[in-house]
Amino acid sequence: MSELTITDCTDWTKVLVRAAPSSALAAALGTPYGRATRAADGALVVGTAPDGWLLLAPDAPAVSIVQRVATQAGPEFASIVDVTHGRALVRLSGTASRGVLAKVCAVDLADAAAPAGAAIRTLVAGITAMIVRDDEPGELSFLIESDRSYGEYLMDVLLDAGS
Amino acid sequence: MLLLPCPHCGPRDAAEFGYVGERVARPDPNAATPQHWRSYLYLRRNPAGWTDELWLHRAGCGRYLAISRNTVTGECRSTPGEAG
Amino acid sequence: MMRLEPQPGEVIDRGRPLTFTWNGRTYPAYAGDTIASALAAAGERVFSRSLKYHRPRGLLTADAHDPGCILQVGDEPNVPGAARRVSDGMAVAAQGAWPSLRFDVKALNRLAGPVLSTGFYYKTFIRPRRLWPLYERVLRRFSPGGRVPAAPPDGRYEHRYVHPDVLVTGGGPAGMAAALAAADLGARVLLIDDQPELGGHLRWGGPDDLAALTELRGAVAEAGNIEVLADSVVTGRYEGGLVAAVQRLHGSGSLTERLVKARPAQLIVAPGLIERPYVVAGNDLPGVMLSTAVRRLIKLYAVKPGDRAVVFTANDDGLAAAADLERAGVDVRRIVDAREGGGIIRVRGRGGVRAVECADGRVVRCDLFVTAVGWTAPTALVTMAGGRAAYQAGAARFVPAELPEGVLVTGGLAGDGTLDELVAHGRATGQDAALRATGASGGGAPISSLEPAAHPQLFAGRTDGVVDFAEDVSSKDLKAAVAEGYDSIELVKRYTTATMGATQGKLEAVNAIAVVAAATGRSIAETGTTTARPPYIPISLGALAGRNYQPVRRSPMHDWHVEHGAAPLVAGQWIRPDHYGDPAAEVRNVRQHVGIVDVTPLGKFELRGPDVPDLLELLYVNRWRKLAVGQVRYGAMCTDDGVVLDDGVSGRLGEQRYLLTATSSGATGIGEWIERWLQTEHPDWRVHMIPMTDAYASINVAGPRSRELMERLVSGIDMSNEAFPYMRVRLGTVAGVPDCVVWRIGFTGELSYELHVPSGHGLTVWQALLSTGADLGVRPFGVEAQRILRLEKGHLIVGQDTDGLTQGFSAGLDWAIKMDKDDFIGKPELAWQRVRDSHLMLVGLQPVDRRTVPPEGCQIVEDGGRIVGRVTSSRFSPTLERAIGLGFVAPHLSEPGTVVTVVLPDGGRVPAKITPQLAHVDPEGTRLRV
Repeated sequence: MSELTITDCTDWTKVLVRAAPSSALAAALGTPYGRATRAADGALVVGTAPDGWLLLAPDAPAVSIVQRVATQAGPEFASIVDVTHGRALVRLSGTASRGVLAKVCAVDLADAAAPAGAAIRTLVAGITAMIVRDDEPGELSFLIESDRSYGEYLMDVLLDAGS
Repeated sequence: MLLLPCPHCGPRDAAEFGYVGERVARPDPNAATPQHWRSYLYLRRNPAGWTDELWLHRAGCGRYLAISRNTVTGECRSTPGEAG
Repeated sequence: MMRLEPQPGEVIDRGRPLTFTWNGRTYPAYAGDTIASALAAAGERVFSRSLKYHRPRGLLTADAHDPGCILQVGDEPNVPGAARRVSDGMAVAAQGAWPSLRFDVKALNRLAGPVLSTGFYYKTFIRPRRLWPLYERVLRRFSPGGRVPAAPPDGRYEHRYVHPDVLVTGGGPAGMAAALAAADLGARVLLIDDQPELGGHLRWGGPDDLAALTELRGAVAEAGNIEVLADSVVTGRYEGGLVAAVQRLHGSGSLTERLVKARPAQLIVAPGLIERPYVVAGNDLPGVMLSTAVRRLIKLYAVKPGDRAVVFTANDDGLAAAADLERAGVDVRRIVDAREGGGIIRVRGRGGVRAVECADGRVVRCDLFVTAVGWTAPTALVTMAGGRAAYQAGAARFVPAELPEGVLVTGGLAGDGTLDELVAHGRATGQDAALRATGASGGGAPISSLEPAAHPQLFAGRTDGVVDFAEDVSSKDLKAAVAEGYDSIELVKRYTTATMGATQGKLEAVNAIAVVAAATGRSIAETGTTTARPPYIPISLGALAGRNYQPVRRSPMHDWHVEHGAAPLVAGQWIRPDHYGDPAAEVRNVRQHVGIVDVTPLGKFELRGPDVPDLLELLYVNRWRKLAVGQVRYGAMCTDDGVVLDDGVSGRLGEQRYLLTATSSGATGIGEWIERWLQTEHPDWRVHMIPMTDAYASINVAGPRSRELMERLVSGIDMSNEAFPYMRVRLGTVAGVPDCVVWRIGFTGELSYELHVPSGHGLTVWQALLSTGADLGVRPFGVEAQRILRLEKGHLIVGQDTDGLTQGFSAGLDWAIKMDKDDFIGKPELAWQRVRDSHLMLVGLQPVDRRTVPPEGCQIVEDGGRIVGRVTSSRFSPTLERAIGLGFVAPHLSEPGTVVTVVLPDGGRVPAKITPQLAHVDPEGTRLRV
């Protein structure tokens, strides 16, 4: 188990979904705001707003995810948009990752407050970011997602805080 | 720093929020008199005590929230279902 | 040498000798020594000069609050020398004593008494006004502050957020017991103490105290869920229970200080008690010390505080200090016990204590005068949190009277007791806090009472002495203030500056209140206390700033711009290319050939759903309902006061799919604005707004040869003027990149296309445009060239050519505003603005002298000086080779051909002519439509 590693995951496929919380699609996604779960196809479904989700997948093409969700949505009003290019994604792993985030983020990320599968939208070093507790086998791990234009800044900040 | 109760995210630092202002209903634009319209635009109660405000949870759920705030004690309560 | 034989609880490590310099001379020290203890061990007694009278000052409290020991350490000013540990090679110097500590010419001020009398800031330096610069220069010399380094200090600071259930501030016996009890119940505990090691007053106690200390410290170290921050001070409690603490890390690792922020569910305040000085003539002479100071020096640092001592006491702690002095070999010449009627008239000496004059007439020669006259309970955190402090006359101190929700007190702040009683109280308080914090049960655990012990009220003697050592305010000054009519303690404070120095009332507030109470004939309770505000201790700006992360946004082409010599322009959080060397040449290239500009920061929002037309009709002043798929339209938005908010083009990409663009500076705000109307006014509308600003890299391709260039790179779109006319949008592949949005618009006034390319391919497309169009003369252009081009074309920039008062009809939007729409934001105010018909008008301006470019912001005047307008934009136009501008003028001056007077910054006046329309270049728009 390493102490701290940081990986740029910006090339992951990212699909934004908007639908009413009471919709059939919301039920099918099965992930409320503030939680993240793995779908059957391996995509990480993150509840990013009461009526919004972000689907993250390391290698599945966006079209297939968009089509799959569109099928689930049926005729109800929903928006499914490929935002792969709009978001930066960084993975911070290791025992020290929580301590690094504690320097730039005011939210409690301890097990009790942020267990595996927690998804927290908050400020990270002054920018709005989504922190997803997405542990890897035997290792504490966080995915951090922000607007793409902040990506280099976010990486710089985490490297500085973790130095 | 104020701690604001977000009904979706739980209590969060005020730094995550944008302050919109006191909640004022928008009059019918085709019927409002200038006096009525301008009181909507400019007149605020600004009480010492409880006041109903609109805040945007900018760095959280992204929702506009109705929050009651006591300007004397600093207490804040969310007013669920009343963001309009 | 004053260094004693090894003491049982000493914190110095005699196995690790160090050296440091004091005013240039080398001194020895041991690891664990404070600067003050090492200097005292070497026999030094004077560490500073007082603020106003420049009297020599020595150790008084021998801890972080010591007002007489504020020193310069290297480049760092204002270091508490009785708290900062010596490190090897440290360079320490006295502050504010010129030319030297021993011979301070400014001490002559004592002869100039009246100049520095009460309220001297307000009285002395007011008139004559012309002398103020002189006063300022002289006063600077007299200020006690240290030397601020010329270069930025190399300290490293950071912030850290922590989330304890229970935060205990104060690591004495009660604080440690509270932390242990809370941790036993499963609470996450943060224990903060201002000393390098836990223990509080146990550290300078007897063998029983030291045994208890070892046991408690061991238990804390073993407890799994207690984090200890030593050498750290809670600086304040703020709204929402936010607690801030400064953690000092000097000399350990790479960090200087850390600001720790916590919102504990429960805060236990256990700072112990602070000993009060006695107000009597001569009480600030070097050699006058508190009983706790001499006990710290002896027990912690093995330093003998003097040779011959007089002890003045009103409690048993004074007697214990006398016993410690005797054990240390100090000749205790006399113990004067106030409880037995003893008193002190004055302390005699010059530059140090020489004798003490007692109330019974005896004069005792000595070099050390120790006082133990009472305790102050530091209630600051309790009152900052919304609690109240009340004076308890029987105990001669203010005590917490009302505790706010989430705050508990233990230890000396709560009351006095034996060690067992203090520990028991701490334990019960910790349990109570844990139960409340974790919500384990309805109520907390019962807490035994801890009452403040009876103590004589002994504050000041018959002679006047120093009350506020930091601000150099005496009891005489306070009485003078009362005599002048300042009878409220808050007014006396502001007038005399008592309690306003670095100690912030911790040592002097109660004595000041007592002196004012006596002078006004009121009781101390009636006089009341001043308001405690954060920070509790002086705090460095570095700690407040932390790492000072400043968010920066970069476009996918950012590195290319840097590599190609772009001058950076910071626009909000974005860094943009301002120009690549010659903006005028960039303008000419666009007009003659073709240029490309990175406009990625442009706000972009995808709107989806059947009700998007309703939303657009509401947001914009103009009409949108009939926008067909494939069309784009310019739109302007106002707020409900009719003021122009933003503008941009938006297009219909599909049946229920639109792309809305906003200005770069307005991008974030417009997204929030749209959400606000959707969420609060029209939650029934089926519209989703998806921010796409970062999803697309945006490139504007502008110039007569732009179509030629685009045709080489685009597939799937017929680029001909007939198939793809002005103000249309197409989706297609550009340079092999699919899913690009291309619209034909004309901000620059030339034939131009704006590409929105998936961000990850932005650089590819940018480079493809440059390499493919080399023979067409394609060159990049920056923000400055873009601004010139748009000004030549007469396009306004919201926020540049409009301000917070510019309503729609003033901005020349008459053609766009559709008053017959049922509703749009700002409609009523715009209707009334049109009826009034007396508003400023945006016009094109051309100075009569082609070469004179009046800077933006210049006023337009008439009748010799009346302001009737202003220049909002101005540049030298490379295309027309003349000065051009936009500006506001009063309606009677807005007729084309009118000559107005522009006032230059140097006062000069130049005539400028109003042009027939806003556009200076190609007003007919033929270049756009080719």
